[in-house]
Amino acid sequence: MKKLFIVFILLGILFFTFFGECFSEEEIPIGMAVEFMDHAASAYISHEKGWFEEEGLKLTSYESYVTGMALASALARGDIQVAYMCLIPAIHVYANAKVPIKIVAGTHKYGYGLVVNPDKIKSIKDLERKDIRIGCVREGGAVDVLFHKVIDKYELDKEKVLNNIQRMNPPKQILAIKMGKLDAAFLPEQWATIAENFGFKMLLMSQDVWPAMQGSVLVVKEELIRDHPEVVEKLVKISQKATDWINQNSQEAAEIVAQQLQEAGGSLFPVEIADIDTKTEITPEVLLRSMNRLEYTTDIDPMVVQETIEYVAQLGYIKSSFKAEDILDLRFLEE
Amino acid sequence: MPAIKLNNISKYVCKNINLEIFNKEFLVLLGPNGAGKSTLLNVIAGLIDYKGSVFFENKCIDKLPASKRKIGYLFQDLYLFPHLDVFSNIAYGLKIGRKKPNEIKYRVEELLQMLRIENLTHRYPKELSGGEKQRVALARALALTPEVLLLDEPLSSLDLQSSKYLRRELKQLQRTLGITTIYVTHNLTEAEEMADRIAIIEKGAIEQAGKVEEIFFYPKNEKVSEFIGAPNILDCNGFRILGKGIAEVDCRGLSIIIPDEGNKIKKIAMLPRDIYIAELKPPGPDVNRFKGIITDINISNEVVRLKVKTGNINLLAELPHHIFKRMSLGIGKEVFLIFKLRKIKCL
Amino acid sequence: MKIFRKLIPGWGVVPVIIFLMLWELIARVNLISGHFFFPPFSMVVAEFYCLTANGVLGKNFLSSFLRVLIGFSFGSIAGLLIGILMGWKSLIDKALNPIISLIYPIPALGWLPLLMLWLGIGEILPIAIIFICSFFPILYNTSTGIKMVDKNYIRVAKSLGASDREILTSIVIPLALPNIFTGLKLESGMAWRVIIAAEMVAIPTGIGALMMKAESLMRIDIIIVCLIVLAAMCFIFERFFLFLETRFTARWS
Repeated sequence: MKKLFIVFILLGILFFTFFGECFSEEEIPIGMAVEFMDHAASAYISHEKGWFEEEGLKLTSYESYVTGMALASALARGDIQVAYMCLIPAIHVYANAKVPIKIVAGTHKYGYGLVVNPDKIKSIKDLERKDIRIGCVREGGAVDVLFHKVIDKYELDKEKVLNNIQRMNPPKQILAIKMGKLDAAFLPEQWATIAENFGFKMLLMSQDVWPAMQGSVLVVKEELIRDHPEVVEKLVKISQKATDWINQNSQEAAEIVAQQLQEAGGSLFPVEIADIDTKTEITPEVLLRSMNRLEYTTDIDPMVVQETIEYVAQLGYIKSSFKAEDILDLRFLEE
Repeated sequence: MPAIKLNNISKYVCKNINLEIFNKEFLVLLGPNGAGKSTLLNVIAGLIDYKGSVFFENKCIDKLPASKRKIGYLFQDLYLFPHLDVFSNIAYGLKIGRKKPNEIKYRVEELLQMLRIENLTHRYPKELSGGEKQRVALARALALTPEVLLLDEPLSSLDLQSSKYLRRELKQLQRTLGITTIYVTHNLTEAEEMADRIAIIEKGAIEQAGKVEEIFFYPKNEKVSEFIGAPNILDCNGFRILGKGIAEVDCRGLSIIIPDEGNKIKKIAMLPRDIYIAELKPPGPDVNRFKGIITDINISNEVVRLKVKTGNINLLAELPHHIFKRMSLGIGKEVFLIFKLRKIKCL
Repeated sequence: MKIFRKLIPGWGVVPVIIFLMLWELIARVNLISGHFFFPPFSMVVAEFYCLTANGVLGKNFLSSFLRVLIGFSFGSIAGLLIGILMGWKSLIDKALNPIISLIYPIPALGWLPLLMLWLGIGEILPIAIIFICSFFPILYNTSTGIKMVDKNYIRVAKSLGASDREILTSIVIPLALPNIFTGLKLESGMAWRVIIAAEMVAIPTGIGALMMKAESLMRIDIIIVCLIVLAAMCFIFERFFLFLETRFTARWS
């Protein structure tokens, strides 16, 4: 009887030690989604370097998504509180799906390009030709919106060009380029740079078409800001830290991002596409070249955001325009 | 109207059948189920292949297709075309024959009148009663003015009353139109009432063909006898005329009143179904009523046959199933036998 | 009482109205908050009006409609003809049945990858899919209907002087109509379900493609409009064949 009593006491001590330790800090579950692109380099760097854990942020999930649109759907639907995604899909999530989100920081500017088969396409006007096959993501994606900018800027025949578009996601476009089934492709980085490996040439970059275009942004759910503003502050701080580090250590950053993308790609894609972006194609050299085409900065210009919102509304992708302040919450950035 | 001759016809159960049907006669092909009755009809109609030959007026018609044999066929279960109304059903053969519309209209209306179904012209088969369907099917069979009419158990699905009524009509119609008719049935009463001649068919062979009386009172063999129910034949003596068309004879102790046909009678015959059975003494004069004891009961598909002993005579009586069920008859039970005067056949 | 009786045929509408009212209420009250946006019925109606007014719905609907019409018409006619042949002539049935039995179970959409490679992504692709979707079931129903016609009707018609061809056209095919209409009714609705799926996967125009665009833009109201259009078209097509079936067979079937 005495022995039993002692055993119980010991168990009780162990129990409280273990669970007490667990209960000592209030842990907030953070589901994170990142784009499968070097646009989200700051997320990949932070994750690799363990900066989230250092700040006491426990990621309950960390998922990659091939396109911004796929990520947007997941954000609207599931247990994701934080996302590194392109600005334009974030606008759709907010305006169309009415998900209560806020953009708390930028991640980069630019980062999209039009690559073409130089034998078939010499100038931008060639895109109108009937025999040309152009790859592009689905309507509403950042690249699609940029494409409309290209049509506007170069006064292309909208109907002719849109008729030539074949909608598919970036990895499929690369596969199609490899198989000779596309003559041009409008792609986000790193995919645009990868396409150059197959003889395609960069005809246009986003910088040429839309100066100051906001690339991706750091998005959080409103409830996270409301309930745990300190977490959001930490996330912004980590993003800033990672962005600065990328700008100072571009070579090493490229290596880390390449490795992270290879790992993520292995589980994301079926075999024939995994081949493209894993060992063979997403190399540090490719990533370095690609990342040099982006401007990594957490700065975000509300006027550019407003301009984007209005353009997307003009295209009919959202029902009506709204104020950029409604989707922005940059106080953590300013601090 | 042709006489029909079947020469060594073999098909399915039928083996080497020879049969003659006379011009304008109403021949009843009588036999149990599976005897080959419908097969013979189909052979005559040309609807199935067969071995042997069929002659119409001594002309071999084996090579003639069904559509050219000028036959009207009324099928068992009728098979009125469900998707056509009464008018169109009757007119079907006429339309196929490319008759002019006014000819078709005239002929159909004639048939509708003949069979008294004018009020059914635009109805569909599913809206008709059993008797109405029969008439429509008959009208359809007669539409092309056939030379031979084949009727395959046309009244089998009708109730007793309708069946009785239609039987008479059919016979009347056949007489009026004078069509050579072959009527298939397993029902003895129908056969007896309608036939000019009867051909008994059993297990694919014609056992006997002849007039009604021949078949019923002079069955050729046991098979026929078994099928029709062997008649009760009694030797008589002591013939005494009573006047008013009746006479009295003594048949082994039974005093029986019979129709006086002017001759001295040595034998009388009664069909089993013409001997009536009652559990209680029937009312009325005590003529041709005898007590008897049931010695055997044989229940078959068609009827219930009872052996009854009265005095020292064993008689065979027959009752329809539904009447037998209503009575409580068993072996050893005492019953009353009634011999109907008109049903006694003097031989 | 008379007014009551007059209303009775319309009472089937009442559950629908209640459903719509509940939908409006639940969406307005935002009962499913935090997750996916659930637009109220009135918003869907408003979007329907917008899409109609700006021609987007009309254009995409017309694409889908024409594909279904052409594919279904050709598929049905081919299915009917070959079904009649197979039902009527046992030799043809014996020759074709093994092949048909192998191909029939393949779902229409299963043909999509192969046809995409063979035909490319043009108008012929969706029409071919609808053709396949319609052809096999209608062939099967027609052939079964023909075979199920009681042989005694054929004997009767023969005895009345009809030739084989006349028997087929005046007796057998009409009696097979109930089966044939069953096939047409089922497949007319199925054609719409298949075309939407084909357009979602492979074709850039049509109601299915519009749904995919709406999905990528997270425009749930547009998705619901497309679903309503799909439901309405399935209903209308099936009703049309039901009407024809009633017209031709109700009196006797």
